[in-house]
Amino acid sequence: MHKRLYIITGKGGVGKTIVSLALTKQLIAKGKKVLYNHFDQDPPSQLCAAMNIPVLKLEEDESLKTYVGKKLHSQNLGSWVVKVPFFHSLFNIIPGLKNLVILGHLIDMLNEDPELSIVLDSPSSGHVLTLFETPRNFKNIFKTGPLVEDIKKINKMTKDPNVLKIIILFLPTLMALNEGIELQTKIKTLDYSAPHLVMNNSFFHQLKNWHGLPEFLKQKLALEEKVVNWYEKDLGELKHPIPHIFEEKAKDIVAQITPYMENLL
Amino acid sequence: MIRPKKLEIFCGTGGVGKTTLATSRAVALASKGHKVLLITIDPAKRLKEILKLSEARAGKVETISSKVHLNMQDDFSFDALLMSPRETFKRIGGEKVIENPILKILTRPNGGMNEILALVEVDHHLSQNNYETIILDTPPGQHFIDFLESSKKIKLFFKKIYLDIFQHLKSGGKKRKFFTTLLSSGIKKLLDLLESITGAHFVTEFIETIGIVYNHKDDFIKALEVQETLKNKELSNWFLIASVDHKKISEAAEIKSKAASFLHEDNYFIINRSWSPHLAKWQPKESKMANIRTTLWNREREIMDFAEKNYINILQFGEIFSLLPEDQVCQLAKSW
Repeated sequence: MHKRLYIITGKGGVGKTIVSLALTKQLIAKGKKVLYNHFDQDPPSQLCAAMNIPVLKLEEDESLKTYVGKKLHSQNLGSWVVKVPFFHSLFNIIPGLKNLVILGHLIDMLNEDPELSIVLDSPSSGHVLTLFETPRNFKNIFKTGPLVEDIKKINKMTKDPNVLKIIILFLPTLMALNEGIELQTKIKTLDYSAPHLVMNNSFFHQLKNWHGLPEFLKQKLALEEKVVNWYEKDLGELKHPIPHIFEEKAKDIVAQITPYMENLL
Repeated sequence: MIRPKKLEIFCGTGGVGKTTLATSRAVALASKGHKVLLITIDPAKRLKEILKLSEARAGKVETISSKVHLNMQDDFSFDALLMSPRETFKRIGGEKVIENPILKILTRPNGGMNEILALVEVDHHLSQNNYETIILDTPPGQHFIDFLESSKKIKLFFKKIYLDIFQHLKSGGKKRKFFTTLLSSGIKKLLDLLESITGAHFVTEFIETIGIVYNHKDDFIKALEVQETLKNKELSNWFLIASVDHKKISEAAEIKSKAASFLHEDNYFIINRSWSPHLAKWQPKESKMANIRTTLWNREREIMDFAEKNYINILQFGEIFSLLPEDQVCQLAKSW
């Protein structure tokens, strides 16, 4: 059974965007209605267009206007609030508030359309924790009122393992794995269901049966194998690693890893 | 070696090796007897792992010994700091500030206030003037831009008119003059709306919180001086890092363009984890291998072309084939 919301995270440079796009592709291939969203950033529009990947682009001001308008039961008031300079400066100085609005917007969309799934290409470790902590933090700040009801709605969705799946990618390096494990632990303490650790971009899994590799690639493979062994010693069998793809264009890499995504749905 | 400056900034997209390279720079300078402070403002705090620091010590300056922390033969030391938004705020406002429930939450390690308070923290250490060089390891991509733009956000937020209004609100006064300002700024209506969706209790708490932050306006405004240091060629070096294994050339270009108003000519483009020397020596005959070599070679070429078109100063660091971060740091330090 596929989920409604996929959050793809991990250390910087682990391949979050490529995997998010491939995951979206795989869901489309299965006939699902799905949107790709690059959380709080501009999406890779050209790449998405070239691959026919439907993008959900949330314009910050629009999102904010809609969201605030909904809470105040008036779109006019929503538009007015967003234009007040003090509100704008406050909103800028508290980034968590922006997270809450985007998250609220996404959850509203999922609630309004039961067919829809969203793949969230998320920030890397430190900043994704800010995102995961946001509902709790603002619930504690606001304490009561419609905003808190809204946060409860977000929590109800995101803490349901049938709705949300969190995937933490890591490269076969010690630093990325440790960061992944640390992130997994911290997310669990926030009461989300356990995120899945997935190895990406593995030269080892792509080249291990090849003969005649040059010395530097052998060295690279040996180091990556150590990471695999280290993982398996502590965390059990390493499931569904994604191999390194020897292509230059992002589009080709996405296409080649798409079949591996079936295991991650 | 590149002449060290008062402030050296390491930036780039995620996973390109900012923290490792910044640490290697600290090692390279400290081993020559230079007095160095290394600060990480990235909440992911990889520095903690490289230097085996405890997260509980975040916000406190730690002395790093080359022998103890990095397993090196030579004996020297430098200071390191894992940025903690709460400790920064505590220093400017005292223990009491953190008792405010809203600030207590917002200054959590992942409360989201990192980038703004980082500016205050860096300014503090620059003003103290205890170090010859402060090396700054920054958060990835967009969050680095947030750090650069935090000065703009500070300027917008700490407007005198807002300060007066919140002073007035806090005192509960009803001076006519301010009441008019309050109405025209929209803040009155904003607070009424806020009350309708959160309750009066929150609004009181909110006004109090803003009041506390405004009491420390001077510390935030002073932090804008960091900007001047970053713009000054005599005072700062910029290192923009890209890594061959994840290209992301468009993102590197974006960082450059967003940082354009700060950049001076002492900015260096670092190509990290290069395999060029290995690839140059490798002459595979079999076509399958030859294809791999071509792909890898083209990746190196693409990033080099970008570098040559856009930068005058280019530094290349090779991939270090070791799993241990301290090994990587020590080997990279030699390349400086």
